[in-house]
Amino acid sequence: MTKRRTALLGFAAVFAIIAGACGDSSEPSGQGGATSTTLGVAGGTVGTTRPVIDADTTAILRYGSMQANSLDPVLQKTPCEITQMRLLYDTLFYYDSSGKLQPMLATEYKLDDPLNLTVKLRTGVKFQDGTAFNAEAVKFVIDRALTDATSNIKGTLYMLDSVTAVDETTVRFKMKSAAGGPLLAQLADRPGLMYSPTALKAAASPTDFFAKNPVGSGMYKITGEYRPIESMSVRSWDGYWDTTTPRLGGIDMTEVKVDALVNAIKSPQFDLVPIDAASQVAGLKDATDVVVKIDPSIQLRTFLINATEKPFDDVKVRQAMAYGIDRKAVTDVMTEGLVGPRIQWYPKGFVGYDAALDAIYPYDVAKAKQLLTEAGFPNGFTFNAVIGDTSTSYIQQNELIQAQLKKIGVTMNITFVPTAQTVPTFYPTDATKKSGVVAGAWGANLTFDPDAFFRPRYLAEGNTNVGRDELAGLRDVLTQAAAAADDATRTKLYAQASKLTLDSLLEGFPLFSVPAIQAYKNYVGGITVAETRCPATLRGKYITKGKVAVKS
Amino acid sequence: MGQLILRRFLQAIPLIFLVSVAAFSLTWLLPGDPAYAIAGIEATPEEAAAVRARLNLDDPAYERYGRWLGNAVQGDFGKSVLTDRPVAAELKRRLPITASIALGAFIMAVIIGALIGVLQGAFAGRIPDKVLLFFVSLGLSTPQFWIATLLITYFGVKWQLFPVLGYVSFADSPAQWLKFAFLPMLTLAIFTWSEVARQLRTGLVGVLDQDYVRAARARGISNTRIIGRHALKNAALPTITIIGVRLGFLLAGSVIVESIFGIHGLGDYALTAIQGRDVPIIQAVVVISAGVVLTVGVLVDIAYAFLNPKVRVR
Repeated sequence: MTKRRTALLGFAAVFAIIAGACGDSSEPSGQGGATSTTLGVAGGTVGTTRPVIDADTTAILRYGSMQANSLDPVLQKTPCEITQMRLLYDTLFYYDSSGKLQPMLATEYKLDDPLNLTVKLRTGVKFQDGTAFNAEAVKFVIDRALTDATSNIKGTLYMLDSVTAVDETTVRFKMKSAAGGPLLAQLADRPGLMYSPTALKAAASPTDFFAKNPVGSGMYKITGEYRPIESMSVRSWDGYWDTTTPRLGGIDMTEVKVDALVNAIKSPQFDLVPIDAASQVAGLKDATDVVVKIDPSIQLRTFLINATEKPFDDVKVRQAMAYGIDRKAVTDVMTEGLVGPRIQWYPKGFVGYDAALDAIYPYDVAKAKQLLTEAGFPNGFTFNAVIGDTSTSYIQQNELIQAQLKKIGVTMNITFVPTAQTVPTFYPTDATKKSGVVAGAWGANLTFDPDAFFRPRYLAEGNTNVGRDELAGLRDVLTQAAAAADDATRTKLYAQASKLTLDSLLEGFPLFSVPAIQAYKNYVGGITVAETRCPATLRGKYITKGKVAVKS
Repeated sequence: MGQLILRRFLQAIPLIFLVSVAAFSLTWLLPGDPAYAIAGIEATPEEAAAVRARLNLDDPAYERYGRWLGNAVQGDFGKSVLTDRPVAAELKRRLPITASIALGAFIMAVIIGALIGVLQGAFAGRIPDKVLLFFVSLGLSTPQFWIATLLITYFGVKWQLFPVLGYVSFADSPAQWLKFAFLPMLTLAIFTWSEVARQLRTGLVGVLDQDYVRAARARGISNTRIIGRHALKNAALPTITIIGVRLGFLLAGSVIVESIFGIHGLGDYALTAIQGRDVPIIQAVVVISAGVVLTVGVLVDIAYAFLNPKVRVR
């Protein structure tokens, strides 16, 4: 407790000035300042060298994906909409491509005490309708996320009690529980997307506002008709505050079905497409003007375990699974060797990573058999894995694991349910009902802030906790980490959380990170990290003048 | 003739009613909870309950069906669960897209299929017939997605003669419409023209062997005239049935073709709705598609009656 208080005091003393941090060309630049303190990595700073870019500010980027079916930040239909929303609305903060929290519409923050966060706003910013961006606007937007009847993102602001506009450029967030880090993370996500209160109030209805003419303070303005899960166009907005981040004349987004993506980027009709499957990469080898970028994504494939079901209630059985599955072999097949296997949730460089965990659970059939014997299953056992009947990739993943588990004497039968039924089967919304899942291959999405990853998955009330059981000691660690003010403490505590989850193997363990694959014409720049189909960041992308190839 | 048309349309009404019941039943037949589809999978039970109350999802089925049918006959199919937009407006926008491609494919298939069929019939058993038979068999046995892939690879990507994705409406630019719609239409048409050609060839071979044709030949009437004036009308009857059935298949084929060619028509709308469990859209598409297929059936009956007077008196 003393340690925690010391950390908070130390943090409060340092008014975190993060204005002016500017990363690579795809991230917003600030004005002036050069130092940054982030919540991403202990002691992390962001470089300030910006490459000289010969960008065509009138060029229109043709992007082969448009999965948004709502442009209302409080109405989450799928996680995908945020790709389009971020073009129209800026957030208060944002995470850069290395997972570090950076300023955007906010310039500074200060944790006054464990329950009060003060945020300073950027001055001179206007919404696209001319309305000034100020503290009242922030209060309006956050209040709507918390109280609007249609809002389904209230749960993400679980820690927030109220918002006060202190003055034109200062906002105070009063928290119910000490969770400054998770709150900042949310201000970089959906709840932090800012739209014009004046324009919203003037519209016939919020539905009308977000469907026809949403007004934000973003780099781009919507143009023409927005058609959900079909097409959307944006054009550069002259009044945008950040004049140094590379900008396009506009972006035309069209939803292209997965199977047509390779042909789309090979044709002259598209400049940038997200590629869905590793197997599609081979189809791009003959396209000389197309660049393919592959990086690990935040989407993980996992071996899910329900530790409330026998025989997985015995930690030795769970550990036997971890030793008995050859993650490298599974990863090689599933990703065609594009990425490596994973045993811990967070990758190196991210909060939540613990170098000591890298060597945990090597593939070891003898060890797995020994653990099963110690658990009372010398001849193995049989269990059912559940999977959606049309989820081909998950079916393949389960079949690979099925074959591997046979080597340690464990028979994994596969039961199919309708794909649309998988989530309700895995995580019944009625708290009194048990999950229909015992174990099997599944997936998970990482969040930059580990609180939002661990809390729903490992705490009893979590909505993606398959057994509704709780890992002893984790709540305390997460509470301390959420309240921690300095990066070093957070890093240490979340590493501790990672260790707890992997030692116990409640909820299973990761297998690999799904590769994010982007294919783009060689004249497209600003692509620092390949991203998935959703979410993706189009901000900072550019096309060179005369469409000359970008020098790598 | 007027009575026949009226009778056929009246016969279609109970069928449409049954289809509407089946479409409405999708609410229960499809897995998952629509309340969670709307509120989001991470919604709390309270949020899902609020959605149920807002949309009257807890009302008795017959009440909901009555409301839904009452609105549907007035052209109101409700709002999309996923996008909150009126389904009818989307159908109005997308139906012409699918219809224009299906109709274009249909015309292409009938013209080319008829030409091939007549040539095969006229040269039955000879080299032109055998060569054309090879291509007809190829057209019948090649799956649509494979045809589409080949067309895109060569005509779209390698030679860049046609765009590989997208659509421009006929009203905006007939030339652009043809440019964008040509490959999708060709994909849809190949199977149908092969079917038409095969059917017409078989019909013609049979008819050309009949006594009245032999008599016409004996009178010195040219082969072209015999086929054009006498044989084709009789040989076409079974082909018309095939054409009617194929028009329904062209609509069904639009799901695949629109998906591959990035066309946002009715097929794409249906596919996206099925993937997202958007029941109001699926219901509307089922009813509209059934209506189109039944209308085509009635039109085929009328065409039959026109070509074969015996049908009119039944």
